[in-house]
Amino acid sequence: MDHPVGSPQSAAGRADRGQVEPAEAGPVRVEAGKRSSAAGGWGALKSCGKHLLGSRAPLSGARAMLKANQPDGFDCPGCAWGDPEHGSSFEFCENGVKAVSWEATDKRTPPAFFAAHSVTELRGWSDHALEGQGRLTHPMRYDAASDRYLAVTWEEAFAEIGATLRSLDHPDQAEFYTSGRASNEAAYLYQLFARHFGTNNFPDCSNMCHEASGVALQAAIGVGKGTVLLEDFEKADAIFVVGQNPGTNHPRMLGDLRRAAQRGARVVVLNPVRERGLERFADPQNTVEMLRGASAPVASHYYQPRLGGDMAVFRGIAKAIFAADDAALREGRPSVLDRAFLARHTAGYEAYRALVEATEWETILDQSGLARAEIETAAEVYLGAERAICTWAMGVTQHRHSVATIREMANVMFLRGHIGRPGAGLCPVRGHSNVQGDRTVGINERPPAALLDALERTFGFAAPRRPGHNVVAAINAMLDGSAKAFIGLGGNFARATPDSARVARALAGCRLTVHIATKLNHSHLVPGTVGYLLPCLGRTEIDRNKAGKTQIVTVEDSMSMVHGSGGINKAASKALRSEIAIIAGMAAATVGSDKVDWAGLSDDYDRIRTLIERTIPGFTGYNVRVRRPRGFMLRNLAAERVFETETGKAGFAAEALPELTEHQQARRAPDTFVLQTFRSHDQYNTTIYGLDDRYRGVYGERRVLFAHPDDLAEIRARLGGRVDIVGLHQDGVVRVAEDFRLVPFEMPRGSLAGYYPELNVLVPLSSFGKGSDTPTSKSVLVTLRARAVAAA
Amino acid sequence: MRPDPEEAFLAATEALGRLRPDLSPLAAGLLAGLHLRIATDTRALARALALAHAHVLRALSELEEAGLAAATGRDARTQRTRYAASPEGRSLIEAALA
Repeated sequence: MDHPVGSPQSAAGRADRGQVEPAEAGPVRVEAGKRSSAAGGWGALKSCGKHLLGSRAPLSGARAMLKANQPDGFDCPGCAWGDPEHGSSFEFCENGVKAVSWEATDKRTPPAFFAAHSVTELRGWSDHALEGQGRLTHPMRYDAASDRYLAVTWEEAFAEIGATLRSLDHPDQAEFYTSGRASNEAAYLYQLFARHFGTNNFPDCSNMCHEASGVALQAAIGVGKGTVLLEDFEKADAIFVVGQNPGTNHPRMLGDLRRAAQRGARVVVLNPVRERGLERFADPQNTVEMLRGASAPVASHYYQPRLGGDMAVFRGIAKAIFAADDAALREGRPSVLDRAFLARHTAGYEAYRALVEATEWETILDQSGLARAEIETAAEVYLGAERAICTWAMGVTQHRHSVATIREMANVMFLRGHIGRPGAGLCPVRGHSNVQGDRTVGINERPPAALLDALERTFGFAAPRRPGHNVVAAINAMLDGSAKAFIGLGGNFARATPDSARVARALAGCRLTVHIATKLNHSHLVPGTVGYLLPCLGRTEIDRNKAGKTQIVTVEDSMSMVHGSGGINKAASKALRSEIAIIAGMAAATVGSDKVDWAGLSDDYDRIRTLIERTIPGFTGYNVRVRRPRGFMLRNLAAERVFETETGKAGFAAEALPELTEHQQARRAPDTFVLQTFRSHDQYNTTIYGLDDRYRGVYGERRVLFAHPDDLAEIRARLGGRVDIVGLHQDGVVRVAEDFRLVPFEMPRGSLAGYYPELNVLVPLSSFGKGSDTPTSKSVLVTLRARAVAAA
Repeated sequence: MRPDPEEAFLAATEALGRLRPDLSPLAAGLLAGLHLRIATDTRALARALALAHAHVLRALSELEEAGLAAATGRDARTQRTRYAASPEGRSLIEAALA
């Protein structure tokens, strides 16, 4: 149903229902029962379209020149899954549609809005209500006297930000946070600014999600990224999907899984929670299926291990594989292992095998929560596959032993050489659309020396060599007062982080807070002594330089494909500036323009890409290659079986299973549960599009707590229907999330689940992954108390 | 004899482009599509031309900025945007294609 532009109904609200758009039968159909005014006979036009995109050359004789060329593609900001037809996918994916609609809203949050509402009042609003006010339109400065944000000019903002940063005793007193939505160009300029200023303090959102993947893969295969391309999913015989919920977090992945399942590949899911989207999926591009409400199965095998039990599952799979190998050799059959790969390309195999054989099934079964037969069946699927892929996400990475778990998964994949060949490999599936690219272009608190050397050679300033802060270190530095300035390139730091109430207080204690944002959120409502809110263009908006020329930015997806993206909509306000222009303005006001032509770079993003090409490996011919359809793949040596590890080989890790996971601890203590936080279906990280979670049957509310039906019955009998959740982390901090409704769900007993950011108050800042510092948001020990008792 | 649709569309697009060389070919094509009644919304035109919807949305934005067309309705779920030529856009179409 159409609504006039500007009408309340045209805003993104209806997208919150999460309906999938049925594909259409032909070019003229609009909605069921509606037709556009298109006339028939235009079928031949399909050959014209791509030519119209190709150039401004005369169209005469176009038919002879028709060839695919899609410069200035559009990268969907909805997730980091690969896109086979770059630029076309957003409208066929719920996440894409929500993300685009969210930015394209007609609602605005102008200075008059801030005049009408004090910051203290706004703190009482929900995340959903704040972002629902629409797009920020003008740079604003916090005025403590009136407790309001007041409009300022860009020049005033840059001057005071620069002066405040320069007034710090040391550059390491500033924290430069990056959201994974920032483009390569914005992120590169941002790190250039911070390093020119003198710090490596780069807390970024990957610290809270896939840091463990980067750490584990760097050690295992020499590169902290996955090794597969989208095309590999078309060739795999088995795909292991571990600790992730693609139906909500990267829906386009479901299409690839479904196609794999339909051609006979086995899809083995390991997820403590029974997620409907992984069981069956209706393809929004399949007209017949959508109209009939039909769907097709995705998972051939669905196992529900206990929270934190994935490492034990893979240890069990390895044990079953070795048993099968022993049996094969005993019976005179060939080894089931890829012994040539193991001998030529790996190190540490013997130690790993010895450790696996020393691990008792009893330990594996207790920690994993699966039956031995289930694990052995998963191993049979693995052994039956010539080509296997293993994918994972936050369900794996947000535990204390996440790095060890990912190493264990890699170990198993090595056993049959499932890396560096078509249809096989490791695939951490990222969330934010450019979280991987940001790290590639230098957002790294521990930068490689080669990057710093290249920056010094190119720009002539002394790059800082001290390691900087990640998210946990940055928060601790703000809490103890050693960090005094926070610059946020997007995101919602105060809500995304663990112990979010403490983080909010830390931000408010800063001398300077700067938030570059498109919409209002809670992080903006805890300003420092000097607090700025700087509104920027979104990815969907057309970005023009001073001469009126449109500019493109680039991003890197989970498959290491780098591609260009140009805006498609008009800017929400004439006063908006691009993230790049804002960074350049702050940088020029802080470090001057003697060594870096900030204004020039801001006016021509090709020049930024030239600098990336000059200082970061893999970007040769950047400006040319990124304008090709689908862009280009950053070379990944591990995908070519070249492993840049200490041994020059893929490394087996031989690490004992955790002595006790949180779930095992919970089972041994009275009234104790282990809680995981996750997204609802109408949510993108801290952005709350709506209040429904349709795959899980929750509508119009977010303060819900999922529990196994038997646990739920016991809790209800003891405490009633509404409960407070109380953290049990032993660090003296009282953590309570109040007033949640219990909802039954298919998940292991002793487990609870609910939505972040509401539950981030329970995630302890002092509990993080070994080797990754990633908050342990998937294994929080809690107890429950009756809401009525608490209220009394 | 009925004119070849592709030739007619390309000819109209080219004629508009000659008068407004600042427009991208696709923006001119969008106006030509209005004149020839190929489509009056972005998604229909995208399908007719076998292009990504995003490209047509961008072309409409370009025409809006140039004052030659205006969005008249948008579906929040799909971003399908209906449009019409502005008086200036109609004048351009008339001058180029009359």
